[in-house]
Amino acid sequence: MSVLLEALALVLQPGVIGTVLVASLIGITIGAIPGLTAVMGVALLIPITFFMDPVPAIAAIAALAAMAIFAGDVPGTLLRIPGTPASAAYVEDGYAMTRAGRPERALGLSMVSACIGGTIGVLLLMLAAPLLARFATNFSSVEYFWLAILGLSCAAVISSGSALKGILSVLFGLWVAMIGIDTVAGQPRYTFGSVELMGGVSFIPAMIGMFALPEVLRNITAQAQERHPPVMGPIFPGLGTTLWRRRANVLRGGLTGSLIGALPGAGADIAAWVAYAVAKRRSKTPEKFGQGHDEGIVEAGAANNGALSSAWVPTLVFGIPGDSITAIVIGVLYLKGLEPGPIIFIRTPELVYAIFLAFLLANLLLIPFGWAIIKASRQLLRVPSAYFTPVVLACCIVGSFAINNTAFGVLTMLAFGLVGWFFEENGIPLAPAILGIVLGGVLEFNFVTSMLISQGDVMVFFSRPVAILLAVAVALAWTVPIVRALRARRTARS
Amino acid sequence: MKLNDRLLGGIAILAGIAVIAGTLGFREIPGQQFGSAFFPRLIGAALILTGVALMARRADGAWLTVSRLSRGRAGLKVVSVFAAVLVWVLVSPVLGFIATTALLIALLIVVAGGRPVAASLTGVGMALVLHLVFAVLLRVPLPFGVIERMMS
Amino acid sequence: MKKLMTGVAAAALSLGALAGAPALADYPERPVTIIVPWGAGGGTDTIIRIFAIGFEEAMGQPINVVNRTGGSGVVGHSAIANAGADGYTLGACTSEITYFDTIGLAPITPDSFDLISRLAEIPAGVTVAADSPFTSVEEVVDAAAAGDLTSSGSGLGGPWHMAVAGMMREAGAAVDTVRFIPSQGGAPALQELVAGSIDMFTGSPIEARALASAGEVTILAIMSEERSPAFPDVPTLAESGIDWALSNWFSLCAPAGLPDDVKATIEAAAAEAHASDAVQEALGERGITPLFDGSEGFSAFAAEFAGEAASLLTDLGIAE
Repeated sequence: MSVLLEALALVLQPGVIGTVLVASLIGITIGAIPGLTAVMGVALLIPITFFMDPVPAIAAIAALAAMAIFAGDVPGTLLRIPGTPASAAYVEDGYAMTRAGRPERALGLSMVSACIGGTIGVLLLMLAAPLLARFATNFSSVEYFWLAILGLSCAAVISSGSALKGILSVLFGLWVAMIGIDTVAGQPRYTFGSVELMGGVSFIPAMIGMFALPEVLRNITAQAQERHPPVMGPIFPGLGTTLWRRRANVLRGGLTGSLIGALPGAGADIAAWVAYAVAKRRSKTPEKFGQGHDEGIVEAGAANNGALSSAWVPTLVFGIPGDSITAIVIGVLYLKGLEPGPIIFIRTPELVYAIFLAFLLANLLLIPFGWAIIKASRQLLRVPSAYFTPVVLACCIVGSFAINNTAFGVLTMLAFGLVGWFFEENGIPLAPAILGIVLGGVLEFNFVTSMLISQGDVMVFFSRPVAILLAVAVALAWTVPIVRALRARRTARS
Repeated sequence: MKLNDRLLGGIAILAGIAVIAGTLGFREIPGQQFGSAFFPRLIGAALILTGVALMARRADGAWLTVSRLSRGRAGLKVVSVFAAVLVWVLVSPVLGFIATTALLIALLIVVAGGRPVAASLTGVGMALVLHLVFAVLLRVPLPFGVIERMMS
Repeated sequence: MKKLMTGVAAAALSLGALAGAPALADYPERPVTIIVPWGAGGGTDTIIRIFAIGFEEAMGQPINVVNRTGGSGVVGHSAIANAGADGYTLGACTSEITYFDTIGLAPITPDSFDLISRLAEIPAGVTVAADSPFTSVEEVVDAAAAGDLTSSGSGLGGPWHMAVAGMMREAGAAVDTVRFIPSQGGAPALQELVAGSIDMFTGSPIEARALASAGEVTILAIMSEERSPAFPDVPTLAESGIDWALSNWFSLCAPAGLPDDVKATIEAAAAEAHASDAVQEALGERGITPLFDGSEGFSAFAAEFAGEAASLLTDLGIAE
């Protein structure tokens, strides 16, 4: 208890609170700009943290990341430009709500569920970090292979419409993931001699192109549905009732996110997709998903921020970064003389708990800051489409440029814009393609390394307890819907 | 451009063949059974199977429907968006970020039906804002050109 | 109106000043970009960002550190090599420049760059899981020679692959005695080690430090000439009778063809920045060995390293 008080004293200082506030402001701005990611924001913060004490430095990073991940939902919901692959999971639902004239509902839901999910993640971090870390280090390439398969199986659940077209979309995404230098053998694949393509297709420009560009085209040809009266209702009324009704989703999402997020390298992306798929699977009205339904937003939104917090588990306990943000954090920890490892909990527990408290604070600040950004963004909806759309396009261009600091990203966006447009015209869902791009590399790399380790023995995939558990989960993900469909058909017949 | 399922299936089969053909030149690493070609071939085969399945289905509707979006004036607007992005990529290294982006925004606003004066103001204003955020605050090395040189 | 006129006059004056300025005014007159071919938060990125703080001061201009990742470093290194040789784009070249061409990835050699200096090096090591049967590096080498052991830490042909290959060659076995499992960096390889699917990690002990203090892994040896102050208890490989050392290194480089005076300015500023207490301390705290060998020393070293790498990679069957 005294440790907690000591930690509180470290956090409740004007300097720390001030830093957190400023970092939150930067984070929410960066996240709300299409194409700018939390990782970029954190990388930019690093030189500044050199001159800070450990607690404010880490607190600033935590606050910036939490804010940026949530704020990524703002362009996703309002403009259909998802900020991260994680928020691409529920972008259709959010955008459908905007088109139905209720953007404040979508944003309010994702704001509060992000806050709760993040808090669940932090609480797990405080209570069970060493335990969770032990669980996470059991994952070898074999388990990651199954995890990627599980993630891809979600595509089958989430895609609406024709199953064959969903498969087509996944296959396209997987093929895109093959572009570039094969990391195992060093073989350039489908690069057509281009050095830029050797680096592969970065998924942020691809995602911006696929989702945002078709929207830009529809708006500029004035064929989009008539813009709804540019009003945004109050955010909070009604939110409580909805969330209470969806409390199971919020909790389950937060937990799913926190567990998957603790696995190094898997992170928020897989967490959000799995959570969305679980929500749909468990829903009484799965047919409403993708049409502006709240369950997916709430569950995946909570998972998103839960994963962000628990990514710190392997980072703090073993110095193995959970995602690209914590990879940067490790550098800062060392610079501040805070060597990661279980020792950190024994040697400087007050510092660790101060970091956790700062994290908690950042998650709680999501509500006021989120409210402000939602209010500010309502002004956007008042701008006439003719003026608004070209500016959105310009944002897409800069965002795609900034990911790798090259105009090649802009061309990537353009090419994927064409693909996205073609897909939509033909009723091919976009989300599975994004999932394929994100998971294709993980899947192949872990399959090939597993085979290298076992020297070609396929049984290696069933040789470890966690692997078997995951294999069973995959088998269930595929068989349960088939069995259910058969049973439904039988009852329909009788 | 909407294709019917049979045509879509045909394209998927061709794409699958192309993906597999693309793996033919890949070198093999000694001692590695599952090399660079394994996964792409798997994907190619799956594409072909999906294509066959699509073709086997009863397809209704015309082979190819050109949507309203790509005909007449609307079609011109669509082309102008793609052209604008391409031109941005080609011209920005010479003119610099601010000038190119201002032009892109202003011209597209006019295309979309906005008034020229307001369009120019929006273009210049937004280009400056984006430059401030990305180049100055976030230190992204945006294309450097005439106006940037004057500002530095 | 008067105000406007003054404004116009001022603008005209400054324009004139711009036009009249000599082509190569005092370099540097605008911000300098350093391209890092690896991801934000990685070893190279950290070293360069630390260095950039001092470098900014020494150059008197803002330094933008920019990550150009992908393609096993090919994309970023190509971007450095193909940038204008005007001193406004520099890069963080890593050991890959000495063997990109050897393994047939890209036509990039040390000659594609003007090498300024190495900035830091990180030695390889031998790390095993805590529940491993091995307690010394001799046991590891003996077991490897007799049986089937696996190692990881980087991509195939990467520095940590060469480390284990060179170690086995020096111990009198074939270079490919230990099967090398590629990984995407040190952290995932350590994860594999702790999860029990590989036998040893031949990457840097620095990356394994947190896990070692957690009692999850044991660092058996370090592949440097002398013991590292960060790991005073870890013996060098030479102490175990295997005369082999390998360090991965990180450098400041520029596109080939810099004007001589520009190059001299950069080298002087880099030396000054590197020697500053702030940079030395920040690198030291991370267990990284600071190193500054200047343009001539670095060029000679790069040629030597390229020869060593080519011989190892040819023996491994990875060279084209």
